[in-house]
Amino acid sequence: MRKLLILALLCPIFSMCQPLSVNGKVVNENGEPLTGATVAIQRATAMGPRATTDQNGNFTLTNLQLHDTLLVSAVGYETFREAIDFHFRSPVTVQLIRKISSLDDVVVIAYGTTTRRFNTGNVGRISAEDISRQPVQNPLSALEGRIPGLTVVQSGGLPGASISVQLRGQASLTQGSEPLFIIDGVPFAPNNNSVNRLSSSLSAGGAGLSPFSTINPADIESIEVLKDADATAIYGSRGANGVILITTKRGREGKTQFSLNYAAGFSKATRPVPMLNTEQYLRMRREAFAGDGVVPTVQNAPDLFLWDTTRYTDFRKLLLGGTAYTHTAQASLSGGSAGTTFLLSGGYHRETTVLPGPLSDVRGSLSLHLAHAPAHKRFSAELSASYAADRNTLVNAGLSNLLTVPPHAPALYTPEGELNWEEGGLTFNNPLAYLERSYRALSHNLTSRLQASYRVLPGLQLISSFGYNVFRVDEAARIPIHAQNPAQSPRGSAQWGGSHLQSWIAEPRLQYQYRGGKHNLELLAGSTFQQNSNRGLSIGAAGYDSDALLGSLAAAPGISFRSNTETQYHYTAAFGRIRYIRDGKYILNLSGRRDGSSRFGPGRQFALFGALGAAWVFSEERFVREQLPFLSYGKLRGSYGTTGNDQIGDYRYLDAWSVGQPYGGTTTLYPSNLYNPQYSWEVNKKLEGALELGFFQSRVLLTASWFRNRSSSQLVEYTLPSQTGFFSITDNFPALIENRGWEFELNTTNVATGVFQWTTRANLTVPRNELLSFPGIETSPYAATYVVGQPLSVLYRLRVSGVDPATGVFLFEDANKNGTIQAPGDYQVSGFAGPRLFGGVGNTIRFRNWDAHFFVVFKKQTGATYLNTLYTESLVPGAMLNQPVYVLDRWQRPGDQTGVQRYTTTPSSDAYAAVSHFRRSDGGYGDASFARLRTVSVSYHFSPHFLRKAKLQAARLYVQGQNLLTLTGYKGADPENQLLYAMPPLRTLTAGLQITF
Amino acid sequence: MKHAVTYMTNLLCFCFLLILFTLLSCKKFVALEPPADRVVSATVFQSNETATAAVAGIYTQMMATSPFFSSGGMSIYAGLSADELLPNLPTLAETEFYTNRLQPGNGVVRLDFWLRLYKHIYQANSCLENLAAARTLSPGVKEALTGEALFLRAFCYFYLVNLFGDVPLVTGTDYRVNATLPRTPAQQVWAQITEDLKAAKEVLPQTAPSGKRVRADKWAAAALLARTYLYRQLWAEAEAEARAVIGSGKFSLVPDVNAVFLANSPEAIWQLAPVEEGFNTTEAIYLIPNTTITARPLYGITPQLKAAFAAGDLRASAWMATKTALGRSYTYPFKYKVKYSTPSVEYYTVLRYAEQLLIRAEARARQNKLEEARADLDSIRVRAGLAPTPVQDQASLLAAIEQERRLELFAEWGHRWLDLKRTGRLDAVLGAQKPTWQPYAALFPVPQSEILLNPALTQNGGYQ
Repeated sequence: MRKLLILALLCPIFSMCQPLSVNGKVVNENGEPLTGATVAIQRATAMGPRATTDQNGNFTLTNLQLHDTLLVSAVGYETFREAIDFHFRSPVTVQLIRKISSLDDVVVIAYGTTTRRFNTGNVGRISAEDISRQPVQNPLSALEGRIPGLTVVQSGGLPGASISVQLRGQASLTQGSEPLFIIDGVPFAPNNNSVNRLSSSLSAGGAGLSPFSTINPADIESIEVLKDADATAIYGSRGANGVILITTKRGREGKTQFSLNYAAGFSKATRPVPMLNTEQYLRMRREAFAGDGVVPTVQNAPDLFLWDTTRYTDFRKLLLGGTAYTHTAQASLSGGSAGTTFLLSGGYHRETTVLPGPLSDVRGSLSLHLAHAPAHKRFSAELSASYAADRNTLVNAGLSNLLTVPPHAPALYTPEGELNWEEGGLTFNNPLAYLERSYRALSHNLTSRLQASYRVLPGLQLISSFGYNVFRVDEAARIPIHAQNPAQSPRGSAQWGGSHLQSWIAEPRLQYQYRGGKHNLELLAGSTFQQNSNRGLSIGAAGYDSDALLGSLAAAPGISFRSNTETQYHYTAAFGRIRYIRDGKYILNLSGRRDGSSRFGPGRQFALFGALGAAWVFSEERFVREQLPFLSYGKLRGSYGTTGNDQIGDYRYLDAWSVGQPYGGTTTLYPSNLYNPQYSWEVNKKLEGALELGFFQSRVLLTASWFRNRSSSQLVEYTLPSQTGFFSITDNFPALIENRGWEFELNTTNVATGVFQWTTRANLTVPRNELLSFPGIETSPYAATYVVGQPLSVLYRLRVSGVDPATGVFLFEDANKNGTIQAPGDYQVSGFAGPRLFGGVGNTIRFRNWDAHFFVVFKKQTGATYLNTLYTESLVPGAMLNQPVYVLDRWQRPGDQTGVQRYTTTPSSDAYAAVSHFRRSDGGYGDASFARLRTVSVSYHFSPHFLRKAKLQAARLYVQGQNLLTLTGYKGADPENQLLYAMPPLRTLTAGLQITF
Repeated sequence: MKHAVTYMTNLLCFCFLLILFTLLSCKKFVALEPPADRVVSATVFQSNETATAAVAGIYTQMMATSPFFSSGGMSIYAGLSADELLPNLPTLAETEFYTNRLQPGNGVVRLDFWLRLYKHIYQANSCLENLAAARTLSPGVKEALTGEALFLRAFCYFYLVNLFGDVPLVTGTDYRVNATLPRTPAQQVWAQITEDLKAAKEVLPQTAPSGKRVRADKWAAAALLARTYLYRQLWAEAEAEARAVIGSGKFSLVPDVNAVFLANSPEAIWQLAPVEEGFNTTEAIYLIPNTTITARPLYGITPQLKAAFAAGDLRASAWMATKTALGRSYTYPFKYKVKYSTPSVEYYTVLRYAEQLLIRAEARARQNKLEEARADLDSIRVRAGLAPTPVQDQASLLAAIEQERRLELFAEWGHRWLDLKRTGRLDAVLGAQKPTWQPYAALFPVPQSEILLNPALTQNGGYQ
């Protein structure tokens, strides 16, 4: 860690009687002069002469004594220390080595890089190493729990499932609150929106196919999360929800390396909810009828009379009990020589599902990075390109109506081996038939970028980057005849969908850097031109009389739907940044952008955004160094600025008509939306203050930041009464919304000896959302939804006071004491849904050739429980649907104190009537806190001795686990996505081998 | 090599300057052409074809594949509220209709009635505003389209005012105005309906385009106007309008009762054509049970209605059917007989000749023109295979007409529910049949969510 190097002492060794003075030069690892380095003489009793290096790194010191110690220090570098003795000769060249501390790791920011030490903004980061320890298919899931302020929620455990990402709370009421995703400087065309047009088993709860499935996590060098105004204001209108920069790997100069990595593993579903068995189910049905005072007959309870009540099929086990297998292979070739580097890599990933049947997700990817930067030439260029194709094969049906099939449903197959549909004349949804409804999506993602730069004058560079991203999805789904009940003489149907998303960007910019004495100035000016286009097509064909023809559109007797979409988004901006560092202590960063977006109506397309950031590295002050020697690093920073959000969809200002189905041979049109040419930019003001501290040579690094984001005139889909003909309109919301919170990050090196190293990384976020003001809320459509002074996720609802011990029906509090239960008169605030705090703790231990990593994520939150799903989706316990075992806690007889009301199946019953109140109550919410052992990774690195013999550069054997353990008291399936009948996230275990030649 | 680098750098500088230059014109860069998959109003109402498409779009929207108010919802839900239908597999919402205990949160009332009706009204209003401003349309087309939009707006308000009483009278497209409108007194809504229909009748053509009866023509407007006058108890006007329709010579009673609801039936004044490939009517899909042995029809005919048919009434055998499921038999409406076929053989009949005869019969009876009234009534009875009516006095004749309307128009557009309501007979008739009947149930509740979204709205009596 603290090793000092003098690579060259260029003094000849002779004469020892010269008057002692020394002149020399201070350079960095690349041999470039270091300006502003402090050169001082330390004596036993006091400090001696001092000097600072000039623009060329030169210095001169006189009046030296024998046995003085020469100290050379510069911010960010290890201090050079050498006693002056008889061998010491002038001139001397001192090469300083960068401090090997995470403080000086390169951090990618907008249009450049910085280090944690000199950053005035808040940027979270995960590295290739963090990603490589996690056996994940989607790079977004590697972020979970690792970045303070960032919530990452996986919609389910099927391959390709979308992952929602939210930074620092719900910034927008209804519009996109996903951050802006930029891959190697090119905006990712689909951003993080689901890319499917057809529905599949991924579609539960508004989720879908994640576009990030086409990005190979192994190609990523780092992911930076830009959070505050200082870091994001330069992205202007697109920065309100934060910015996530993904940087891909590059080649390094040196010996050509060929690396191979292969891993295989298997997965099981985490926490699938146990369902009632036949005995419990039958008792539920009979109890429901008895409670309703209805005698079960073959008409109203056919399942009790017509089906064999001794049969039991565990559909949960049948559907979710399987094992999924994964295979990952990765090969890369990299290297480079004087000024030129290259990297070529290819990856393959295959993952099956836990559902029965040959379902899978397969991804192949290729990437290329080339850079040419000759040492003494003015011109340099860099090219990166990556291509991935992903084939996702799933089912064209959700899971919910499969898991709720009664447990004594008829046999799945007839004795002849055909799919069975009925018993005693009563039909059922055969889950195996649903699995025959096929769905496949082929996604293609091509990202390429060329960056060329030209040094016009020393310090002045002209850089132009051009990026192109095309994302294509091609979907097909089929409902074959044999997957439907033959008694209904079904016909086959097929659907096709396709999306073509494209974005190109051109960003010319000028960059100027001045370094002189104590001053370090960087200027940046540039402009952006970006165009996105999105084309989509979907067709449904129906009426096929043969399954063999389902692949042919020409064979379809009829078209059940057809639609196309075509949208354009144009964006242009001019931006600039001034960055000034004085003395390595005082840092000022000023950035701004003028934005123009086609998403706004004429005259409202342009807006100005900007931010100011400042930092003081007080640990560089002499008094701090003297008084607080244990404090190796201390920085106080703050920023304030404005950003915007234009994620409102395209053309919302237009009075547009869409094409409907023809009527009587005539083309038809209908109004697409209410139009509002008046809306304009929302303003998001971000304030942040942070303290960063490093103790004991930065072995303990602590960052505490406080943020406050306020958004006013937010652009939302403003809810309207439907007498306007629509539910909502895009408009500026009159309310002021605040997201504030604390974020803490602690990195410690607990033990660092040669053979044993132990480091810990922990982070914690305490978020809070508040509706600060909303003039006229009482007469607005939001009077019964939001409460001023409360979070937007406030549970302003009826309050369940329990289950009436006498009648067994849910009771609600009559808040206004008028004798009846009614919305909104009896609404009360019962807390809020969402996280109260969340974070992660990771430990990495290295011992000899072994290294082990454990990462735990945790979240304390209130969320929707199983009761919410059962009662709001009309899956009322007692009806002819199976239920999770939680409903066993129901009321049975007078005096019972229970959490679930009595079973019911008759819509006219009092218990059924309570359901409509329950939907507007807080009863479906409860504790959804959890702690999860997210990642475990253990590796063995082969010894150098073995490697030499085997002629290898490196070799590593590893075992990795994901989601191995979840601790929670949550009542439902997965406490994270809170979807009762979706595929829960998977618990995965893989083993692999990586070798480098 | 050196040359190449110099060349590249010059090229790069040139590109940079070019881009900087184009930055000056960036206003143009973010000004987009309208999207290719949509059309803006200014373009829509420039040509006859697209303006026609905008008005025809209302019919497409009405002809949904779920039972919205205009695609079976009126027949089913108003049938449950009255004494025509009962739910065999009741949902909570259906139970509320059947027991006349609608909750203000009832989703059907909001989504299938209130919202759909106002959606069509918005589109009609938008067409009317744009047509008024249009300068390039052929005069004939512009007038005819204006007439259709007026007719459709009146049609929607007719059901709104009947079902809910006072309702917000929205006649423009500005959402800032519309969002806070309170309920307008029913009398004003009726006046607007009458005005719209009169104006529509003036400008609509004698025959709808394409010769079919799937779009409103002059006679559709006259027929709805006749009904409007009848509901407003303007007997002479009702008689005059019905007489005009009947006397137009364009419509006639179909001798075979099985053929009344076929596409382009001579009895049809206005029908909605199916828009989904292979579909006929949504009513057929929801009312006809599937063939599996356990499947029951969703909605059954009440015993009272079944018993009201006299022996030998052809309508009883042609317009009702019975299915046995699990040992019990269920009777269900069977006016529409085909679920799927290509091409569609049945259209959804909205206004038909038989109703005009009954309107005229009632209007005449009210004016004491008993002989003529009886003639109209008898033409309906004879077609149904029944003898002419024996009744003589005015009161008995009116009762006979009410009964005939019940039988001829059962499970059709909620006629029974609206008839009992307009004649003030709901309490007497339903009170005797349904133990849960309450007089306030004559009006549906204003949807709770709408009151929450527009605090200017009030609730109907009895629902507080």
